[in-house]
Amino acid sequence: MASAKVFVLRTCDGETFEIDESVAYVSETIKNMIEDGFGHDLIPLPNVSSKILLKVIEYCRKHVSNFESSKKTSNGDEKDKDNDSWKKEKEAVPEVEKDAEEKARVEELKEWETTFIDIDQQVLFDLLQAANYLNIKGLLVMAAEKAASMIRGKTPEQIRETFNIKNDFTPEEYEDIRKKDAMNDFTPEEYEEIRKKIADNHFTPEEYEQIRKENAWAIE
Amino acid sequence: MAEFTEKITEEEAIPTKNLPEVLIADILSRLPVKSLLKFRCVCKTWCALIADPAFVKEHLNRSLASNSNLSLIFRRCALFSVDLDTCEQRAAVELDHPLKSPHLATEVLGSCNGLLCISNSDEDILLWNPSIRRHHKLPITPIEFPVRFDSPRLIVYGLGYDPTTDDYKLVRVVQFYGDSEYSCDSEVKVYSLRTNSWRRIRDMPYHLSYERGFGVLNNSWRKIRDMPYHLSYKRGYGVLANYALHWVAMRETGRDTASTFIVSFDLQDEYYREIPLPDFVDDEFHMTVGVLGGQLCLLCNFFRVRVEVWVMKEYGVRDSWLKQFSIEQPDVISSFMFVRPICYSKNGDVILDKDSEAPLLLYDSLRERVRNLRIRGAPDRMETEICVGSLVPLNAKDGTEQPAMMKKHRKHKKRRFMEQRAG
Repeated sequence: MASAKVFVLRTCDGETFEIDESVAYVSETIKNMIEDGFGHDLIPLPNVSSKILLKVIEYCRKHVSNFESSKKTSNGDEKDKDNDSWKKEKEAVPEVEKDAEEKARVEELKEWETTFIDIDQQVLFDLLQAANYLNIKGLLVMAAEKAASMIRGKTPEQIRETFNIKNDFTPEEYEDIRKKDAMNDFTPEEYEEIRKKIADNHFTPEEYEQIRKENAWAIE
Repeated sequence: MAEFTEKITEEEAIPTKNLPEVLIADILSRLPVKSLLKFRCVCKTWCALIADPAFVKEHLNRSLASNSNLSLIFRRCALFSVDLDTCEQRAAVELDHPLKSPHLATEVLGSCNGLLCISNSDEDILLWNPSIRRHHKLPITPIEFPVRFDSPRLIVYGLGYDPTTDDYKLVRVVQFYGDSEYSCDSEVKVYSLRTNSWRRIRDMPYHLSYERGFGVLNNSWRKIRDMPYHLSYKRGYGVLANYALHWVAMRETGRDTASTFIVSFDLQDEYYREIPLPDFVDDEFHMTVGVLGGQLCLLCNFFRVRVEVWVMKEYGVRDSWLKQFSIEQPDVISSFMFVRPICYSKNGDVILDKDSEAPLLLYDSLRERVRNLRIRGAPDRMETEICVGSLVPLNAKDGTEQPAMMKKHRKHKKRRFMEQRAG
């Protein structure tokens, strides 16, 4: 079982946190630091705030306990131990969990994950950066997937707000991208055809609504 | 306004209000193509990122590895498509494709990394990426082999990707049948998108099983073991797995007997090989080859009794053949002649094409049961294909030959079993 060894982490806002070795090792970065001999004193994490580290530790603890309980079920094997495959990205050739206990564990984990990652956008971005710096693959994947699902349906303007990005296209370049390129949703001819159809009212209400929703930024 | 931080190392990862580009790229690589096309106009950095070949590759790899961004393509003269993940909730819509014509039926010759190869005839073939709406017309290449007026002709195609040259290739195999039932001559040509040209290569020394043939000059039925095969059945396109195309071939094993086997055409070294088959206990079946989740599979059709689906878990390794499941011909579901796996659904069930007609079949792996899968808006008779949404561009050669991209003929000593490519 896990050794009694304990490490102390210090965040950028000066707070300290004590964690078990097994929990610490979930972070490749911390693991490397410990193995390089930096574990005796405080391990400084100047890039992580206490609020975020709390979340990270929560994740790491869940990871460790999940691994322990998976070892107990008949399907427990080494593959779950590795950081890289804990949050198994959906596989192209899925393994079907036939063992009931294992199934229940997987279900519970999914629910826990959903609740865990249900956080606001700024916390999510901070968590993403922390997971990247601390090299915790499973957490990184979870946060990135959540971020992707959050921005998927946004308009470009909303994206700029979310990521604090400046629109550095000139008005001409912008029009260019919108209309000219074949990679756009509509070629200029198609766009023209659609405008005409709208004018002649050739769309069914559903079609019109569908186009509006899909191309809100193109037409409006 | 704050600017983007450039790609930074771990030591410098100060938590900023803005995400570093490497994380942005990670997030974007999980989005569907439609969103990415929209986001090109967010700013110049994003525009460049989304068009960057490395990003396109990462996005594609992620889609393939996670079985996402997939669409079902239905073909019945016109082309229809529906997202795999919502195929039971949403209706299929007709695709507006560059070869669309009221008089001609469009075939799908292959699907690879988001590119579809479509054609209205042997002279009218396109590579088309329906997600980004770009296409490229292939030059016409004649059949050099002298046509014998009365010998039936089989023309089959296969589309695939060559990772050593980062090139998309279309293979055309033309076979003429001689006097003896199993003798044939062939002409094989390979088209490379990178050079935008066809090349004739060594002939295929195998007789392709023609029951999926098309283009027979005389409209006759051919029989094997008293089973008539419908000529309207789908063309025998090459099955893509592990950077190779596969067909079922036949060889004579005695007078009036033949055995079938799988021939592969490696897109990298352009050699033909035979794929070892499992040791079948009962071999009174009709065999076809397919691909499921990027893995080569065999369909063993015990007509009117059951169909077994065998999957080669490790490409090229004979012992890795696994009988994944079998579908009995129950009374509940109407009987079928041919079954072909299309893909895994999002929860691990297997979607299969049955006799090229609606409805599709859904095999529930957990409960080991089959049910019908009806897709609204899909035609009643159709061929089904899978296509991944990708940003893969169709940049064909623009006239300048670049030595770095010339094909390297390498004899592969070791097969690459990882990274299946399909769809």
